[in-house]
Amino acid sequence: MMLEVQDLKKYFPVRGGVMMRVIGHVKAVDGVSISIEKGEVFGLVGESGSGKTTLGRTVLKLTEPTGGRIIFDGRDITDLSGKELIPLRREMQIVFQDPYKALHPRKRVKDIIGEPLIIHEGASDTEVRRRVAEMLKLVGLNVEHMDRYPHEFSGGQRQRIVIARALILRPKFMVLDEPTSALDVSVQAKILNLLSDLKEQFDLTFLLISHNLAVVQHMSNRIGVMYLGKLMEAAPSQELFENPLHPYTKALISAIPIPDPKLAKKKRKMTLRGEIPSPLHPPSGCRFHTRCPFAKEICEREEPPLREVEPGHWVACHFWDELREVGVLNA
Amino acid sequence: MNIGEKIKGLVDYFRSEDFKITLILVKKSPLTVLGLALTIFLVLVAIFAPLIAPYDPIKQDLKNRLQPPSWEHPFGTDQLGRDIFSRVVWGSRISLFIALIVVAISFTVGTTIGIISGYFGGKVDEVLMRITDMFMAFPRLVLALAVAAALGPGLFNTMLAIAFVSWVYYARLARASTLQIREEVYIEAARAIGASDKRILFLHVLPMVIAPVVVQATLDMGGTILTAAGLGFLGLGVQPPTPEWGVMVSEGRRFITEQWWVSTFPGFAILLATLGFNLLGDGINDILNVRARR
Repeated sequence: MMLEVQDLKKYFPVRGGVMMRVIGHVKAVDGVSISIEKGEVFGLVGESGSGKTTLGRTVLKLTEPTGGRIIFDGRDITDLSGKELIPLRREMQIVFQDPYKALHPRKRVKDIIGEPLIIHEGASDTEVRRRVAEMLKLVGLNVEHMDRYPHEFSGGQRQRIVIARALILRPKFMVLDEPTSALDVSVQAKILNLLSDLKEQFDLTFLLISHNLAVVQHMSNRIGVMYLGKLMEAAPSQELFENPLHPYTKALISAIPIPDPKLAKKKRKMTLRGEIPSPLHPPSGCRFHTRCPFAKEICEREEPPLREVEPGHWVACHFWDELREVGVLNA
Repeated sequence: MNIGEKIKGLVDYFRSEDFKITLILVKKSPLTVLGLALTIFLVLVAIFAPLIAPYDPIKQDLKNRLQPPSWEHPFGTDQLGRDIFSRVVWGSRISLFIALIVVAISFTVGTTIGIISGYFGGKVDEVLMRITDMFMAFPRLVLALAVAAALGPGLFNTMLAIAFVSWVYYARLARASTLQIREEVYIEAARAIGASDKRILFLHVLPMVIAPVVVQATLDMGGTILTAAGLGFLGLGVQPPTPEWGVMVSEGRRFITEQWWVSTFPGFAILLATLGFNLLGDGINDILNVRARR
């Protein structure tokens, strides 16, 4: 097991009033358990505000979890802090969503990609140059790019720099936080292919976070669906797409555009009403009941537990069995 | 990074598009050019003071006291017969020296405290910022006067007193920028690769904070010259016979109705120096703002 997350919680305090007292909590991640095997790609999908990015950051201990445990490669890293985390950074890395913001604007590519080497290995300048050059080739950039600044690159190239920085220490595990959503469509596929190639080459494990189901389907072995800080459904990739059980998953899948208009007509759409509710005041019972077309009275009262209904297929819905045939028809 | 690489970087910058745009912006603003000219003039005068000044600034010549401006003494002579032109020229060295040292100290101390305060936040921030509030509650000159009075007069103490009251402005400014920058993704990225707080502060935050603080430093040069002159004028700064502008204005006060030149010329020097730095600082500020908009 590469990563095991048990009942992870991350609450952000909300302050208000004259005294700036804590008046509530945003429950960004509210009791999520996932486990990721070595060499696996686990996809995490959900709308903006579902807590998937926070989950990714918390798993890497870039923010402190409020509760739960994080077990990375057999070690409990939940309570590590400060200096204890530094050796861990060699093993777990992150690729950020927006490559326009993730690179220091005043640093050269060499210094950006090579910084981990200086921090962890105290590498000399020649050593840094050599390994950065090697890394640049690996991610599809030129060695001459080494002395340039980030603003001289396109979005796709910048994302390659971000990937190079994350990869230079040869980590085992990487969180990919919406790695393509800030990029042009034409570049997205290239970056995804690069990530797939690198995964094979370096035997990586990914936690792939995205709101784009197509991206996740393309890359993941297993997929988890998040809504308002909770895991709604988790299943092997193919199973989830062919046999979605949670109404929310069904809605997400039916929202994937189909390029063929004839097929698109055949597909029954299930559109969600409204916006995702505020995580400061999540709905009672099942969090999805305010937008669920099948919600009954019990959904408002009682929170459905996440149950394993078929081997490897988990779902949190009271009526998953009744709704089996409802919703999407696969095109 | 070795020195050769740094020089190469600098040369690269002067050739770059970026620098050309800066030059164009400078040319477009006549006041900045004026400020720059005055500043350069002041620096040149200070450097070449021994060559420019025709007389010894301290040597007295009691036979020739209080002479009005003439060809021999362009700014006249003072109550001890010293050539005022020579004293004003030498005075530029004192003023510039004070301004540079004071700004260097308050810049370093203030920026360091400011980025620490902004980056760590919480209690550290609370304590440091309340300290700056205490400093800012007093007018700068009044506080500097108190400190100078406690330390006793003299060049070194003057610098210490002014630096003591000036760092807070840098701290405030650096903190404000740090508050924004610490939320940036590239700072989180630095944490993700395992950079220590110290490394993040000085290698990642500092380079982004420095620009507005440099503007403040330029503006502050003028203010410091003025404050130093103020302390000199009140007798708590540099002591006679050192040719310090504030001291000279003060000494000429007694003769202001009959021998106007004694106070007027050093006063003018203070005016021009302060004006020069302020115009330059404003200009740099405008240019940075324009470039920030790009």
